[in-house]
Amino acid sequence: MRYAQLCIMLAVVLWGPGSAYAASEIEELKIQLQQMMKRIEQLEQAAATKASAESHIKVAANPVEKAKEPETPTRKVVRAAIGENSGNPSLSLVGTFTGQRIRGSGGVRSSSFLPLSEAEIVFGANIDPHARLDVTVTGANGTMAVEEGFITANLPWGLNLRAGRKFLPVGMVNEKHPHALIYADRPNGLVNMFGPEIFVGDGVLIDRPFFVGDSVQTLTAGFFSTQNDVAFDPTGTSQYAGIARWSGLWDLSDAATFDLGANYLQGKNGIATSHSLTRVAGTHFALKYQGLSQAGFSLEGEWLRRWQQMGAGVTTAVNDGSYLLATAALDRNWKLFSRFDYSRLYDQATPIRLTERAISAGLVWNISEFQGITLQYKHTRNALTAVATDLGIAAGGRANAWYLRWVVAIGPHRAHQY
Amino acid sequence: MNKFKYIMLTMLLLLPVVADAEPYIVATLPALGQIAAAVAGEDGKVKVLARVGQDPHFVLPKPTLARHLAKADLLVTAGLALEGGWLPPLIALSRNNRIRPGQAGYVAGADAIEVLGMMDKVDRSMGDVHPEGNPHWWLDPLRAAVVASAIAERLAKIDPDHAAAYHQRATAFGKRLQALVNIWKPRLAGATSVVSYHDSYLYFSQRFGIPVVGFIEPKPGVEASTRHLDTLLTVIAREHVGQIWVEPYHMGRIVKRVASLSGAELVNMPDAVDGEGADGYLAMIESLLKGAGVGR
Repeated sequence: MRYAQLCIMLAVVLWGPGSAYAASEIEELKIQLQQMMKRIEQLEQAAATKASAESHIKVAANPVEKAKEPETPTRKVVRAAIGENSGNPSLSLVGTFTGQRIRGSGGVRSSSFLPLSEAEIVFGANIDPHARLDVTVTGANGTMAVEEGFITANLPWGLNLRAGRKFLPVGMVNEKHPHALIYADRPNGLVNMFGPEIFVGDGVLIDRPFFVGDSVQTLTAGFFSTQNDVAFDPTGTSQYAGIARWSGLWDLSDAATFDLGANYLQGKNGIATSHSLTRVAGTHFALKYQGLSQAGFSLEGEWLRRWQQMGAGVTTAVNDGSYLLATAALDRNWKLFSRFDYSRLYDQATPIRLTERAISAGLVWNISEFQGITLQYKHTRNALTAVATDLGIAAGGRANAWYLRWVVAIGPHRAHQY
Repeated sequence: MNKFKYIMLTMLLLLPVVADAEPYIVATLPALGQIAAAVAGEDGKVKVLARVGQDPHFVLPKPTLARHLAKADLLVTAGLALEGGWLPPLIALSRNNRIRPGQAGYVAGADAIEVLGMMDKVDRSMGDVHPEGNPHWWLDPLRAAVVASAIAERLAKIDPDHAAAYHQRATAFGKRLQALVNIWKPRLAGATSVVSYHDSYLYFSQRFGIPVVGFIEPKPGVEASTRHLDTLLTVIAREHVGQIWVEPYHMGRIVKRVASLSGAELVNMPDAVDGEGADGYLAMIESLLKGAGVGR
């Protein structure tokens, strides 16, 4: 339309008043027209920018000079970078490469160098205004499986519902994904308690946080089925259990917190047709401090006791599993840690007490926010059955293990639990 | 009858509390809290989640912080995903639907201003970049004034009885900031180039016309390599860089070494200082201006 107008104007100028203009005058008019065209384009651009800005943002009138600088690219419309929208869930991938070198009693030797030990694909999005879905699909040892997949819904009276497959909130570590832990292995106490894999349940969990003074107190209760073959059914058959937990977090100062909690779970274990309950009780604590430079320290631990009935007239096996972890953050990128693992098995029939101890130390380098490398050494003595199987040594044996773990994350991964 | 009296007495006692219920405003960062307090004045109460001197990218998502969000009427954030690593789980834990993004009780300052430093093609090989734009806008006093007006608009909707007061305070705050800029801009004219640790001062440097020619970080969130520092030293010499600007939480061995080797002056440039309301915010800007003006 603009070009048509300009052509008409040009025609009028050239042929309207007469055709006796000199060539120089025609050239001059052409230049003027070109300048006018440029000016029209500038005005159109300015008008379009203004209309776009007005339609997308509301900036209140202010008596200050315009807060706008043209030196670098600018934009007023902020688009979501999280990757989650009404059509697609957020999607992230966490790759864990863990190499290990184990030298155990009885001449046991094994090693691997940075295989992709676990690939975790996380999908998550709001379903509607009432609920959210998060699914974690994990590929490990050549197979893919849904590691976690649960719906989160806000219920009345401040209750939160999580339904589906979930890492169970037992102690401090079990609910966390392994890549979020500072160390590369799983504490021996938890391996003896629930096996080398995370203790998972399919069911419902309801929790209610209470903000009391400077603290948050959270009560959790749930009912689930589990195929755990160490604490429950050795054949891996589903068994039903219930769980109750209390967890409290207090602000000691702006930079320090103290966490204390306890939990209890109980369910049939399927070892016998009667008198075959498994009960687990435990407590955990954490003291954390982080300064402004992100240097800091933490001391945390948990203790769990498991009573595993073996049937009528058969004694109950009692197993303790615990750890104490100390970490020191030198700055944002470098951390040191040391962990002491303690497990005990008490069989009333024999009666024999077997005690296992392990000590670990490690160094963590967070190369950036999205990848980190952990080097860890662990020495285990008098390994109990589950740990011995995991390390590939005979029960009662000892082992020295080195772990090298490289964790990388791509995509919008949600913040880890505090 | 006695029971009725007690009920009436209780209601009478509660009445002033209900009548004087002031908006509870939570700000993610200290400077945002000061801007919000400058607008709210005595008609609102402000709580800040991050501490003065804390890196705004890496605030620990302590669940205890959610207790403030649970009772908030208004949440003021920087936006542009600056708080993306720690704020969303706290909002979820608070279960306060009034302050969720998109609701009336949520204000992201970046939504009200002209954003700088946006990138069209972004991937993580470029470091921890914010694709929507540089989120450190609160270091520009005039953008802070615009955000103050946006906060006033929102507070006026939440608490219409004090709408005029909110707008009045935002206008007065804006005038003070404009006066500050008018005084300092000519003083800093012709300032020599600077290097900063992180790209935190984009808005500040553009407002006052101070060129930032390099960064200690090779890419946002990535530690400097010796090779990068060697290159940076060459840039500092070539561009006659007079100052190295560093936030207190980035002050360390590497920046001191670069300053020592280059001869450039190492200047502590805080992105938050202690102080209440408008005075606190102005103190931060004056601190930056004095830092930038040292030796000029």
